[in-house]
Amino acid sequence: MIDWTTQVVVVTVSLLGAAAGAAGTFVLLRRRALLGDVMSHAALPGVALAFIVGTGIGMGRSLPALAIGAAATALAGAWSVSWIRRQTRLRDDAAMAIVLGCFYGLGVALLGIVQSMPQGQQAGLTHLLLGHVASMTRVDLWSVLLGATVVLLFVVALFKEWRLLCFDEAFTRSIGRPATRLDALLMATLGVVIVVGMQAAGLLVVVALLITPAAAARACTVRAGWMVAIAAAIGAASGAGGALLSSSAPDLPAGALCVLVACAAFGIALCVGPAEGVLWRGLRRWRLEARVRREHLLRAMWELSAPSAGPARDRQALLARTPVSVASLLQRRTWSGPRLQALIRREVRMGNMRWGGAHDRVSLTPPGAAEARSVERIHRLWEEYLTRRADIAPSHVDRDADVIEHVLGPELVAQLERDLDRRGGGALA
Amino acid sequence: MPLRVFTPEIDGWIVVVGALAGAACSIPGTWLLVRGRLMAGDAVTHAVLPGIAGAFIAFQSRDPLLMLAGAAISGIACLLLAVVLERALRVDRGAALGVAFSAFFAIGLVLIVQGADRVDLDPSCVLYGALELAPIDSVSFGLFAPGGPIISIPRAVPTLLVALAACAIASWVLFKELRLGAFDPGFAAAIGARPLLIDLLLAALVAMVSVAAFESVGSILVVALLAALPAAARMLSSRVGTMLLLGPGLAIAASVAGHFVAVAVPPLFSDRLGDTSSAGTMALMSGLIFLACALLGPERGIVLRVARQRQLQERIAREELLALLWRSQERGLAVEVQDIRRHFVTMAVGRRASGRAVRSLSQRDWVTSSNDRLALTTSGEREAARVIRSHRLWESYLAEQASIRPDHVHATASRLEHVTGDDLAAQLATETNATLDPHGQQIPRE
Repeated sequence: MIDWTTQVVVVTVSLLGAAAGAAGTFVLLRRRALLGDVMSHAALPGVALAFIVGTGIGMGRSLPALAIGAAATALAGAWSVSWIRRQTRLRDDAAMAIVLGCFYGLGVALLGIVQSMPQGQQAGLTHLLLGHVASMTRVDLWSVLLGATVVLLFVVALFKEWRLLCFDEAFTRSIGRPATRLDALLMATLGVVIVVGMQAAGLLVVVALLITPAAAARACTVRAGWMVAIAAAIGAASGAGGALLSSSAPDLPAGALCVLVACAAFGIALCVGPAEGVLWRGLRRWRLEARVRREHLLRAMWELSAPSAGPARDRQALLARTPVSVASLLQRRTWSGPRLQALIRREVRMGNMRWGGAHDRVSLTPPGAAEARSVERIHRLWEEYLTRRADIAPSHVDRDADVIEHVLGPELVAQLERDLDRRGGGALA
Repeated sequence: MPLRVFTPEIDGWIVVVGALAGAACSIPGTWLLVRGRLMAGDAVTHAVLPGIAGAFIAFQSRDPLLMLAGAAISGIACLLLAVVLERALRVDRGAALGVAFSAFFAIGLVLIVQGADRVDLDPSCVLYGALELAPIDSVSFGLFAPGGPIISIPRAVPTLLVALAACAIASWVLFKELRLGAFDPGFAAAIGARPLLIDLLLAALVAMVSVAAFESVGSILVVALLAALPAAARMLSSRVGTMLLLGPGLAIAASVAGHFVAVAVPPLFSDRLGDTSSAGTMALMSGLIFLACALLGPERGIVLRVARQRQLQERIAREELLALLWRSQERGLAVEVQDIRRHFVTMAVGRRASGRAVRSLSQRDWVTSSNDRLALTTSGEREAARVIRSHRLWESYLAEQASIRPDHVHATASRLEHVTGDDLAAQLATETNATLDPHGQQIPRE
């Protein structure tokens, strides 16, 4: 049975993960993934300053003041990045690195002052960096609950606008949406995640949960809505997973475990994610290659078996009976003997070809001949198109058509056909 | 409370160590800047943590060479991971870096906590650094001469000197390759300069300086020195060679200013406050130096640019006013100050600009005013004729040569008239050979 403290930690960190994942997706889609990193480092001077001022006016360590200070300098950091980018010719990465380093330097200097103050020793501000997930309190739970609710409400309310902003900022402006304000709202949302997250779980966890679940979701889908949902789910799962793991292995830092769980999720998504996953991309590629090889074989059969002219339908009938030697097929293209054998065996299994003689000759069956004819036809259509419309020399079109014929769909072929017919296509295969 | 007295043995060494760290960082930082990869510096400085912790745990020793090796390996591994994620697996560049370095950093934390019983490595020490402690660290590692005269220098000094020398030598030897890869990676790859190899070398340099500097200035403050000092140099020069030489100079300035602020500022607020972190203030000062260079720099400085823009605006306002007066006189109309305001407001120029334009024309003796009515003087007429001439020449040219309809040429000509010099006007005159503009008005002669 999980004890009460662990339950609090699990709920808090997974809420934080959900909010960070959802907000981080938009930041990733705006190609500013590291802005969360910059803003969370920039929050440090605000925290220290709020502590110093708070102590000076006798309020002591007040959580709302620290949060306001953190949010203020985090947003100032985000604004500085865009100011540097607008006013100088420095690139994004330089602007971000300058702001990150210098704001953080200010923060460290202010923390140095805090530490030399008599009240500073027990301030516990250094927790903000490395986190203290295991010693989370109920105040953290409530602040994260509040922050996450705000963030998720914003994400739901502004989803359409933010999606537009992410994909086409110029278009967003041109249809009269307030792109600058939408961007500022996104930064503010990011600020909320960072502020509540730093107090509850530390800087490292926030940065990782802003970037990693979003990057994982990116590999899973191309639809923005699903991406936000998946990122939130992965964020929540890695928060909960890290917290549970650390409760069973108490000498491991919970924050770092959350990060590592998120990284594992990212790794898995990168392998099996349906959109960008390596596995699916590889499979798609392999299928295309298989189709290309098969079409090459069918066309080679067509070209070898009946080189003479004549109406294509007659040739098709003739072709189905004319055997072709495997040796001559082998010379048509740069394919190895075993690979050609494998290709032929596969076609024989599918009923498109049949063996003749002592497996040294093959011929097309009627369905195979029909398919070979359509493959040849597409090739010829492309050759025609490239010669007439794209002004490519006839001696070059064969190779170009060879590349293009496999990848363009049937609608395009139909259009090609109409196009060439209108211009007197002549007798094509 | 009076400022505490600066002592050369302590404050002098702190400044020297800070300046050396800044100088060592500025060299690889310059290359990262021109290659658009400064955030990779941020990633590497985080990613050295598991290497350092791993070296501690595996060898139970604080040997700087072992630490350097561990840090370099994990820094380069992190960057490699990011490059693979970006190039082969099509992850967004920023996200690839973020995922890679946060994972490495988390592993580092786990290693440190795991090995906490055996090694005294405080993660916050790695993160913040302690520049103030640099002079104290000299005795335990007193390097030269057992027996002979004991020269004690901070341990950080030789370490940073080696790092600085290595960066300088690498930049010297590979200057062409590094520069080529920065500005045209495609061409660099085509002539066989191996951009990936250069990237990895750069990663190794960054890892090296961040290890050499992390004890004195803290690993994340290395980012400030890597980024802000080269960026400040970039504001002063567009030449990579000059930037490389400027960086160390700026580092000295940042170190001196940073340490002074760390010592002098906290007591201003309260007597009980001691010095703050010199490393932090040094990072802050390097940021301020960048800001100053961005504002005041030659060529592209923000102040200069705004001043130039302002000058241009005022010249255009003057010329508009001259043209308005000319056209009114041409039609025999009197011009009052009210009309000018109205004209300027319709052109979306503010009231204050119109007032300034009137003042600046009368200062030049181009207009005289009586009873709120303005009239061109002889010298004013000459200037106004020049503006009108280029306006009408452009109108004719656009209508004749560019086949733009006569009722469409006015707006374009109004913009071009302000940027047309005498040579261009003369050339337009020979091209069009017109004496009347498309609206049938006289083109003034020179």
